[in-house]
Amino acid sequence: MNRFNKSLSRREMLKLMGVGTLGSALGSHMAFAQSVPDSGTFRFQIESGPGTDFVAVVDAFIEEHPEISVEFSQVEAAVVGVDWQRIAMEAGAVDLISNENPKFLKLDPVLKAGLIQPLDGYRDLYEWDDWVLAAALRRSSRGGQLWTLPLYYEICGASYRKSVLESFDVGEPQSWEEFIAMLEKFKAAGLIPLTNGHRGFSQIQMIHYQFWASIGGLSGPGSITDVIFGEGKFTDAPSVEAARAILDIYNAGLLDPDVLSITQDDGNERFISGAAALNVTGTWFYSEMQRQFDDDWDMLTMPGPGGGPIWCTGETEAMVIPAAAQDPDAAALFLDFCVKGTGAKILLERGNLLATKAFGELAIPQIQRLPIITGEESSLLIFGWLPQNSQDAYQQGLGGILAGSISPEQWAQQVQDAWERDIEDGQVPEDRSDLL
Amino acid sequence: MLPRPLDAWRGASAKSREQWRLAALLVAPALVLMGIFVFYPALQTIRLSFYKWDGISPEMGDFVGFKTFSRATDNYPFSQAIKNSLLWGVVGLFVPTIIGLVAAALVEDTNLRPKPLFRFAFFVPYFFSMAVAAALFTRVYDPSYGMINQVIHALGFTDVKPQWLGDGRIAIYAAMGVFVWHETAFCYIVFTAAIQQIDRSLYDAAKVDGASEVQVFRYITIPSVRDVATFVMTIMLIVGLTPFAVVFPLTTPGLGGPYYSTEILPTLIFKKARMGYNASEAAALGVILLILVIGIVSAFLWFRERTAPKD
Amino acid sequence: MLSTRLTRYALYALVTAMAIPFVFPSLWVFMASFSTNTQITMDSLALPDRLYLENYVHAWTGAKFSTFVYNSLAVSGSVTALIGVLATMLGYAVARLDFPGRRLLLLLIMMAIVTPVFSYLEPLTRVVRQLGLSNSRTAVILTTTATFLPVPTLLMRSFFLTLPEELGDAGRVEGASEWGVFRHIMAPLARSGILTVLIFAFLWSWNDLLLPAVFLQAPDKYTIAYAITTLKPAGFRQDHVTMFAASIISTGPMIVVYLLLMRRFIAGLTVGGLRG
Repeated sequence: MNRFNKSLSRREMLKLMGVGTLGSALGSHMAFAQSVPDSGTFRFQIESGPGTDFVAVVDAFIEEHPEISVEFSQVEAAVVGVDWQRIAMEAGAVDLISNENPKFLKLDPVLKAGLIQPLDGYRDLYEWDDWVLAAALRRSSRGGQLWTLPLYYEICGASYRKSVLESFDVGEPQSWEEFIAMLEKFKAAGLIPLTNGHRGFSQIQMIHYQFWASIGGLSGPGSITDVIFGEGKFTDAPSVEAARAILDIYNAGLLDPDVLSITQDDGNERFISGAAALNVTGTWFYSEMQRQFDDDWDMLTMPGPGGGPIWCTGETEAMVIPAAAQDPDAAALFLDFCVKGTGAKILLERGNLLATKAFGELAIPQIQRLPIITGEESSLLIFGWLPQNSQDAYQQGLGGILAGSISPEQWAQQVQDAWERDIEDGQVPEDRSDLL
Repeated sequence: MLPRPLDAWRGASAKSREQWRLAALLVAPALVLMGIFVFYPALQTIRLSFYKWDGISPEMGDFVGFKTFSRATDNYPFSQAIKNSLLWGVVGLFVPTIIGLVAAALVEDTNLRPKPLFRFAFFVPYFFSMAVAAALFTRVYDPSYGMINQVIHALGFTDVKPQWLGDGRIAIYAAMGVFVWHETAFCYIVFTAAIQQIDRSLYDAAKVDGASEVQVFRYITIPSVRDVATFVMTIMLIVGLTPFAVVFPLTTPGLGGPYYSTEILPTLIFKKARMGYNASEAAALGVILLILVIGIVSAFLWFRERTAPKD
Repeated sequence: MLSTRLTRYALYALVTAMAIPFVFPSLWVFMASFSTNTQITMDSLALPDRLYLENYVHAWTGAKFSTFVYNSLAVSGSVTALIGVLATMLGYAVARLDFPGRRLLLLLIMMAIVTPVFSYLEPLTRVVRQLGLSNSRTAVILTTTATFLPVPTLLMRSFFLTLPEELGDAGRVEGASEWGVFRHIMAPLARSGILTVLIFAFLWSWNDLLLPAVFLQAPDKYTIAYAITTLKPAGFRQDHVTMFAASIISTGPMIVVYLLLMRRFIAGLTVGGLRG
């Protein structure tokens, strides 16, 4: 076995071993591949937003596994460009890296470049199928192999203070009419009814997802799923109507009048200071709200015209192990720590929505009621699914609608054109139906 | 058969030969560095712009001729980028240079006291790098707590609340404002240096002839700093055609917003090459930028040369 | 008498009015850097109730600006030294040495000036990757030096052209080699030109955003200008005061350069630099 091991490069070996049972069968005989390590070092890089939560996870890991050492670094992903992961992997600088997921913009390019290794051996070794949600594993697979492990989900919505809603005697809106009535009440009281940041990374996109999901439903013609994975187009009625609904609330003074000038962070400040009643955000803002308000906060999803409230969910913090990793076993042990070990517990307690079934009972109430935990179905959060051209057209165009530069129809056409161009350019897999 | 330089080498004097050797020694390190990091990638850009490649696949795609160019240019963001780049070039050429020259002349050619204080005042923006200045101006321009709107408010105009960075009609001028704010300091300091070098007797003679301050500025100062002005304007033109350091902090990561109103060629290139996988389109836009900058700068230098006074 | 005094007041008023837009935002930032985030959001023109020096402490240690200042000094220092040496060498060669291809070389340098880095951004990143320099300060130093080199080279060329050739010939008569003429006669005479070039190189590399943004991925390597533009506090909040304090910190080296060297910079710029 030793001779065999020396004559093949690690990558060739992995290729040879393929997936599933064969891999783990071989793995059980070979100390170097896909086993639980008793010593080692791994270098781990993640973007700085969620990175704050991972500082605690890494600390706990080191405490629990003193035999493994961790070199941990954070990256400001919003600005370093889409390919920071690729560069780190090509440079052989990491053993474990957050590659978001399972997005066309992130996973497919590094697959194309042959930079990552399949995780199926570890999947069997650590029995992740029993823990990680099936849909998450499915969307993280390509060509029958698992390439990335999503650690948690993110869901977008509009955050609010429970006490504020009580004082206005309103509950979470179940229809467009209720939603508008609620915003009108806030406006009449001199509050910014709904704040949102567009400069930098546009959160208007998040409003659009929610309205679109509400109008178009979970599946079927014109739904988000139909456009991304099926035959639908951005120019289909639900998407256009959702865009027009944003314009309507903006023109009625129900959306922050400064929306085009301010950033997401400015919006958060307006919400925390109490100037704004609702704030477009998502689960990534949960730990900060918990810190600010104790339990006096929650998040709702905004219904669009003619629809009910439907949540939008996306996977995030999906980890990959580079093909050039020096110590994949140590990296995988850390992954397992985040799937069902203390890491999962820490992430959950900090308001993250885990893609695993571990410690669900420990989640804060605001997490408990979200679709992944309740089992309720939710729509797709397409942020990150879109390649650069489409994403740019989508985000910039929503600003263009509010500024009166283009109509919702023109916006939809521009996004559709960009999307088709991206498909034609090979930025999106031709056949996407199996990714659902 | 032999190449001419070899003939030349044989015929060269000892002094020439020694100079050639020294030249080789002095030129080689810089040339290697520029070869690797400037000329080679620049040539690669031209090559790449004719191929189809996403920038990540191991193999470069097919030769597609000018197709990438038509794809990169047949859209609204591109026309915005060209429009804004040209406008910005014009602003760069004239605004910081003229303000810098006038301010330098006002401070140096008059009996203002204390001069060091005024010099310091006009140079202050340059203590911040352009990118930091732009990052600071995201706060200066904020609609609610931002400095400008707070001043407007304090002056009593309580309903005037311009959305400096959110209104597509003014965002580009707000961005140019940061550029002018920062670069005027550079122009100012260079013009100050130039004016200090002007022979004082010229001014005295003009005074004796009864020339006004304005006439002195027009007929002595301006002609005397002509060469310096050409240098400064060339730099401003080049910087003005690629003011990425301003637009990036103001609009990242949604570069060029709102609705492409601050799009410039560099932001488009950055988006294609760094935020997505469109290496070929980025290269095609790079070639266009190259032609634009070389064309405009050459035209400017040619014009300055043609209109130069004969002496 | 009255009219001259009036003109004088008018002049003061005019120059002051011109200076206000340049000074006021800097003053506002300076003042706000000693304030609190709450105060800035409520009334950003008001003076803080006390000097919150802790903003600076937080920027320096908490937000790790000590690291970024170090990185910037390392990058700008190296670039400045490299450009000083290379521009002097190359500038002397194209100004004073007679060798085949000199005109072509000069043309190449001119071309490099008008070739924006943006035009070849993607191939440049590939070159850097192939050299194994991804995510390194070395990549920033080398690319910055290479792309900034042409302008200082032309400045040095102009400067050398103003030095009398007879000095070199005198040295040759005395038996100095060509290298000796360059190293011991011409280069020392060009000191003020070199200083100008050094200051230029420092100002520009300290200011640069693009190359650090493209070549640095790990935040512990960020330069200060890049770190300030990407400064993001935890929890998706706004932290104005840290950013303001960091910006003021970033001006430190520039102010030092201005106070110590600007007079000589100005002298060097005009004596030879731009007249040639």
